[in-house]
Amino acid sequence: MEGDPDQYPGISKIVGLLKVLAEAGGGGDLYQLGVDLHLELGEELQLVRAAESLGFVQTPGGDITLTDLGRDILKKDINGRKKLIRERILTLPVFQAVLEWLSKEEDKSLPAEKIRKRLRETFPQEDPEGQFQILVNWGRYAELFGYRADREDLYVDQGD
Amino acid sequence: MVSMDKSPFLRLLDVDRVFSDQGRMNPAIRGLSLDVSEGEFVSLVGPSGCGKSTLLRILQGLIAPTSGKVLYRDVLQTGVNPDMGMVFQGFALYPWLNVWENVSLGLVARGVDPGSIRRKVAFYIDKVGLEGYEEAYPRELSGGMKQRVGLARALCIEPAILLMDEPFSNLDALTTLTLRDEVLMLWKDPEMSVRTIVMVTHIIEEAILMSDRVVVLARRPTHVVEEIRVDLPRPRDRRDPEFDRLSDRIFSLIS
Ligand SMILES: Nc1ncnc2c1ncn2[C@@H]1O[C@H](COP(=O)(O)OP(=O)(O)OP(=O)(O)O)[C@@H](O)[C@H]1O
Ligand SMILES: [Mg+2]
Repeated sequence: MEGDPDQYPGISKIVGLLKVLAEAGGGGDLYQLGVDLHLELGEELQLVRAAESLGFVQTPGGDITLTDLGRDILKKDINGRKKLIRERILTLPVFQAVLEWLSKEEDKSLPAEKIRKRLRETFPQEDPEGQFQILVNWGRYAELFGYRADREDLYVDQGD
Repeated sequence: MVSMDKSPFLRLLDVDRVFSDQGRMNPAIRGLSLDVSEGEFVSLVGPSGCGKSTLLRILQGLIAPTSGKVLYRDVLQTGVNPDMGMVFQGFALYPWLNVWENVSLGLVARGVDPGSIRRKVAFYIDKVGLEGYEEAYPRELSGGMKQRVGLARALCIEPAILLMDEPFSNLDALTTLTLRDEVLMLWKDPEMSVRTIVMVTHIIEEAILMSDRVVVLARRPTHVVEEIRVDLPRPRDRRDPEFDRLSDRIFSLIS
């Protein structure tokens, strides 16, 4: 996989966002948060949306608040965080879909091009490149997927 | 956690270091003495270019002091100290090696047998939260994940002391918050060999958040201006009023 790895919201960044919110008493104003963190609006929204998709924050109106899960993860150690995030990632439709596609293959793997094509078809409202980067990076973090950059294929991480 | 021994764990005694620069003698460090206790987290802060990285290299034994001594467990240090791991600001990863291979480098260089290498690399990759990334290349990783590779590589040689040279300064602010926390978790993890950390930083807040003691260094040629003990309970809170007081004090010593 080529490209700027910071074009997707990384896990360490999301956890950092939760920490900022916890320090601010559990929430705040979305606009002000972006200003305080010197984040561009696009980047902030992408990050907040990612945290929300994992169930760590809610965004009622123009505000952002930590959920109980968002507080819990901050109390966990490195591998406790990993475990919780894995559980959350398993609830995401795109991860469920890709896991199913891969599991139907005999070698539990598919070329990146095929995955991108199916992502475009199945989730037409999403940016396929962004989705693919999240799949690889969160998938690796959660030990769900592996990705072989030289062969450009994604496969089910079955552990060692 | 602090050693009960009278003699300090790691000790710099009246260290000078001069670089020759096109025939001119250029002093970087002059008359610097510093003790570090076992189990301590010490931060070094000082003006830019004052000699912080040089000091870490002297501690590790990569360069020798022009005069003065480095003592480790009461023994005069003459070469590289094998009990120290180093984490770099720029990650220092080989782009053509994957995560597993980058982490294993230090062990391979030490001639450790392949079975132990496999076991240790797997253990420390897991400890820093990188399991699942073994075959990723540095270009595929975010800054935060790159620095975890740097940490795993430093930890897997099982050093007693971890040296870190501005380890978070190439990371964005949010990733930095997460990695600071996680480095502190590793420091307190009983399964880790590292008990003692010496970190260079130019961020005063970071020094106060993380360390037991902040050592303020002078402009070049550098020496210790003052050592400030940080007794705030952990985990620390930036909103603690004592935090601001310490921070103002360190700031006034540097500027
Ligand atoms: N190998 C070298 N040869 C000649 N001069 C050197 C060498 N290494 C460092 N110096 C000089 O020693 C001084 C201290 O450098 P050093 O890199 O230790 O400072 P620093 O405090 O780490 O700087 P920074 O804040 O930029 O990280 C500088 O003036 C530098 O030019
Ligand atoms: Mg330096």
